[in-house]
Parts: sequence; C-alpha cells; structure tokens
Amino acid sequence: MKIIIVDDSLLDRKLLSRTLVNSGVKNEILQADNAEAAFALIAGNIGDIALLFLDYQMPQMTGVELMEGLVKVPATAGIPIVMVTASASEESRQAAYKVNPRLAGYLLKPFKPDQLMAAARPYVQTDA
Amino acid sequence: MIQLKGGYDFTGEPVFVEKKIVQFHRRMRVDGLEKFGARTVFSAVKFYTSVETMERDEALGVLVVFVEADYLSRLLWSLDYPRIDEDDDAAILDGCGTLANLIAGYFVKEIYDAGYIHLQMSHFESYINTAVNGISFCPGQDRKYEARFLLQGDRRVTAELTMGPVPRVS
Repeated sequence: MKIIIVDDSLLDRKLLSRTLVNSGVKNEILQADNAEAAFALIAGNIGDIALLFLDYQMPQMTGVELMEGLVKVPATAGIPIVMVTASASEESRQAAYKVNPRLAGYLLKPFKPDQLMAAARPYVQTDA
Repeated sequence: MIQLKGGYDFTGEPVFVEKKIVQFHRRMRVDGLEKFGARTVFSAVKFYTSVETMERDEALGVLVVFVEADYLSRLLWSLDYPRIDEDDDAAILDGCGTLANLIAGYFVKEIYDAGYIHLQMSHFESYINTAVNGISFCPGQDRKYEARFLLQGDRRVTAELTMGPVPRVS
C-alpha cells in the first residue's frame, strides 16, 4: 500500500519522504503539491492508501478543507491521515480533530524522525 | 527555532527598526536587495483573523522573511532539511517559503499563548530580490517593524512584520 504526501513545499515533501525511507519504511511514496493533485492521486489509488500526510497551509484549498472533503466520502473516509503543520496552536489542532475525530496524528514542523514514526508506524510497512 | 533546532547561536541580540510602509495600489513595496546587498530570497506569509477573512484575502498582517540566497541552504540544512541548490531559483523560492512558514507558525503560537486570538496563516509567497507587484497587507497600517538577525557574525536573516490590531480572546 502507498503513502501519499500532500504539501505545497517541495522541501517539506522531500524531508518527509527522506525521513520515512531512512526510518525503514517500505511503502511506495507518492507526492502532490496541492489539493487538486491530491484528489486525483487519491482517486487513482482508492483502496491502496496506507497513510496520507496532509499539510495544513496550502494555496487554494487548505489541508483541513481537503480532509473535510475526504471524510464525507465513504470510500475515502477511512484513510488514515496525519496532519502536518507549522501552526502550533491548540486551536488549529482542535479544528483538525473536529473535522476528523479519527485523525491518525498531528505533527508539528519542524518534526523529529521519532515523532514522525510514532504517528506513521501503525500504518506503514517497515524493516523491523 | 533556529537556535534550538539548528544549533545556531545568534551573534547578538536582534536589532529592531521601525519603518514606514511604502505602498502603491494598497500593496506594500518589498525589496530584498537592500537587505544584504546581495541576491536575496524572501517569502511572505499573511495572517487573518478568521477563515472568512482569509477567503476574502483581508489580511490583518504579513510577515516577510528575507535570507541571503547563498546562505539559505546552510540554514535549512541546520534544521535537518535536505540540501538545496542555491543556483536553482525554484528550489530557493520553495526553501525560503518553507522557512517563513515555520517562523510564522511559531509567531501564531506565541501570540495565541499571550492571550490573543488564533490567527489563520496563508500559504507562502516567495520572491527573489523584489516583489514587482508588492504584497497585500493590512491597509490601515503605515508602519512595519524590521528585525535583523546576526548569525555567525553577519546579518543573514531579516524579518519584517506589519500587523493590525489583533483581538484578544474574549
């Protein structure tokens, strides 16, 4: 199953992807730089998505808005989502969990590898 | 953030300077070349009082982070990001935006912790040397505050902030 990273920052996508690979994650990793591309990627991989990393602040549509769209559709509602954000306030966290009470994680940038893996490990394939 | 995670010590206390905003057509003039006298990349993140004002692009404030282009890769590397090619415009625009996003996130948290409302953050906009069309900002403001940070003895990072009155949490 695949991991999808959605973030408008190429550098953040690279960092996330590299950290996952260096931590022994074996899943194929796909990337999208905006919500529209993410929807297309998700639609093309329904049933084959292990985990979705979603940036909070993106142009046109925020990560929370994208997630709101996903949780309303039965086919995508069960995809585990980890929100990744630079916004460290409790209010942002609550807004994300309000939209998706089953959120798999809420990761603050800049994150440490063990923080990332603590959120990802239950959903991904690793060496160990 | 830069001190804690990047392991950098600022060479001195940041220098804060109040400046008048130069505006045209309700947009703030922003120029990077004057900051370091060298190729400069800068990124703006706007702040809004609510999701609704963000959708209408009625910014309450804007943070602009300037970095000398030749220094950006080292700075990001210290924060555990992959190295970027400083000659690749797309890479430095993206890299500076990533840094500005991090700094803006800390700023939002700090003012929220100080008893003000949670501000919504925009995604970043990045430029090299100058923003030809300016950057939108809170039109009622005519002053901005510039903070100059010295790293390894030189002025490497500068941030400009303009902000309208942020409501307190009621």
